[in-house]
Amino acid sequence: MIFIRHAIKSLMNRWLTVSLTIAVIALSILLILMVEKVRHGAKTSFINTISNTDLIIGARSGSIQLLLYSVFRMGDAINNMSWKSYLELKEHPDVAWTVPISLGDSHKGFRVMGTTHDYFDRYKYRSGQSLSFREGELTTKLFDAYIGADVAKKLNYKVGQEIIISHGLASFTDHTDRPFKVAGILNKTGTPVDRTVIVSLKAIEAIHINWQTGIQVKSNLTTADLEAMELPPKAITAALVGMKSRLKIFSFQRSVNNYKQEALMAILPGVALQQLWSIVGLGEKALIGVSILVIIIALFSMSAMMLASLSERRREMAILRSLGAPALFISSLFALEALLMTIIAALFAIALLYVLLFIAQPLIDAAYGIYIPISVLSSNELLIIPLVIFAALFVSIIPCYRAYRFSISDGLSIKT
Amino acid sequence: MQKIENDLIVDIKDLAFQWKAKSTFTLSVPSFEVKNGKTIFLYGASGSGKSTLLSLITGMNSPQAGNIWIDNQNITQLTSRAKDRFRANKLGIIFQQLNLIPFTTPYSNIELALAFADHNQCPKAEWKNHILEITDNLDLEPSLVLKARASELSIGQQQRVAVARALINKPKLIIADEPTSALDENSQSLFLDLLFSQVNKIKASLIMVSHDKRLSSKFDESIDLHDICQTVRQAS
Repeated sequence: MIFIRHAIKSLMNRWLTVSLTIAVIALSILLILMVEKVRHGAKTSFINTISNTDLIIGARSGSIQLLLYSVFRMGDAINNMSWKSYLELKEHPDVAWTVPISLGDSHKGFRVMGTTHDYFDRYKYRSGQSLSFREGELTTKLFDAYIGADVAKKLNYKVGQEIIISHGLASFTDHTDRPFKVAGILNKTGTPVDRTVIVSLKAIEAIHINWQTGIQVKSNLTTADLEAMELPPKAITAALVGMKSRLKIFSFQRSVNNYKQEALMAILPGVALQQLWSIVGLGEKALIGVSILVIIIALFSMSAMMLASLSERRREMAILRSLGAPALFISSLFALEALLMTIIAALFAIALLYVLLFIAQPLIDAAYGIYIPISVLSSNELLIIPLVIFAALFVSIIPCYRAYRFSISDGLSIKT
Repeated sequence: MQKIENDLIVDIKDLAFQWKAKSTFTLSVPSFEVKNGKTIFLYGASGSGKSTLLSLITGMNSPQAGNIWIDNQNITQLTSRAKDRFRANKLGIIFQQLNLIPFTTPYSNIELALAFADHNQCPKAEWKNHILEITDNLDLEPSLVLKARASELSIGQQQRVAVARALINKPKLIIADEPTSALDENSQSLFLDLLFSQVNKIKASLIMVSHDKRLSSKFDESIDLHDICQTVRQAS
């Protein structure tokens, strides 16, 4: 205890350099903890882009491709699945629910997705959260559209706004004869839904009546006529499927993959998301690498600070030696100092982390849709602290050894 | 080398020492004896080898040849760890100035000396009483001892704290290296009187090194360093 107290007093005697050193180490630990938290939050948000959906069915291609166009609205489907197959699979006894989605049109760079009202019930993100409206609500009108938060923000749309949907993804032909009205604006989710214009599946059919291979032929049908019509689609892009029992997922997936009438494919969204993350998540490794480097730099600067302090502490060392302190004791005093500084720095870093999270969490969620939970440190994050302390002791070997050499060569002669 | 127990606190025989790094300097002491309980004035000008001799007596350096008995213990045969312990228990060392660790209290300075010595000499619970008793004997206010930073004390006060620290473990031998050189003439005399009374109280021996011959009259014996040790400086 006396020696720990002595070490603390000695540190306090050099409080300016010591506190700067502690600040450097604390910031470096804070950086790696922050990176861990954000990385974990980003990954969880990404993996949870779609949840509670057991399978996604589409035309046979690659699982990542199907995921990309059906969930992320990126790229195109190479083929559609027929409405007939969809109805047949929907009736499968193990299937609890299905939601059809139809993609292909766009509005000012945002994808338009045709689906049913079930989409709003069934689509879940971030482990079970539902879509919710910031403004407006679901209606039964044929030409009503619901827009994601990013669409509303970018195009500055309000409820009631009339919008024209373009045919295809990058075409100059618009469905000018069938304007839509914005009926609802969704809350920000951090998922691709934010960048989607959602309309009914029937509306997608309705606006394509009398279109032949991309050329519009004038139609005389009124909106009321169209609403009265049945208008079943010939094909859809993909379907989200929920099973009655999770145990049936794989057998149903097999039967879809072996479906004779059409080349279809069923994927588990969670697995495909993991695969996709392993590609897009490469940056996280780079971030961690950089943070580790920053910690190493901070620890070496501590070592340099301790080396610099050696010369002003030779008097203290000689006095301790005269009182009977072994040379090894002197050098362990330096190790104790490194230990104390790193522990204090780690405590500061953790405290600062939570203050920052508390302030930044809603901002990051609003700006990037990355939700960082304010939770206790995970075992991974907790492991960082002892590793840093161990590394600190390791780099303090240099000043410790110098102190040992000095205390032997100086002996009792006081150098000031 | 075996030796019959005698009444000598310091007994040096055929000592030869050479700094490894600065090998142009050698020191040899054929014989140097100090009787138990005596106060010795060792006169030595700078460069006379006094620092080297003190580093050998205190066990900070080991001679290449010869033996040093301190209180009938041949310290040249001790391991460096044992030498450190020996120094903590048997020796009290007072430097010329800057004796104290400046950023802590006089109390903590003295406490460190107790911490390095064997605890059976003075149980931990009695440390505080023990420290305040000895500082009181040296005319140091308890509030000063407990509260002030050592660097805030006057030189005279600092040297008295150094005496308290050197004597706290009731050592057999006190080594003082020019302890009065930073004091004025009047304080020098007062300081020495205090030092003597404390040394007498615990029946320790005292070796004080100084270049100021006027102080020698107070001591039992006065020895010129040149008479007991020979130094050779070779031109390299």
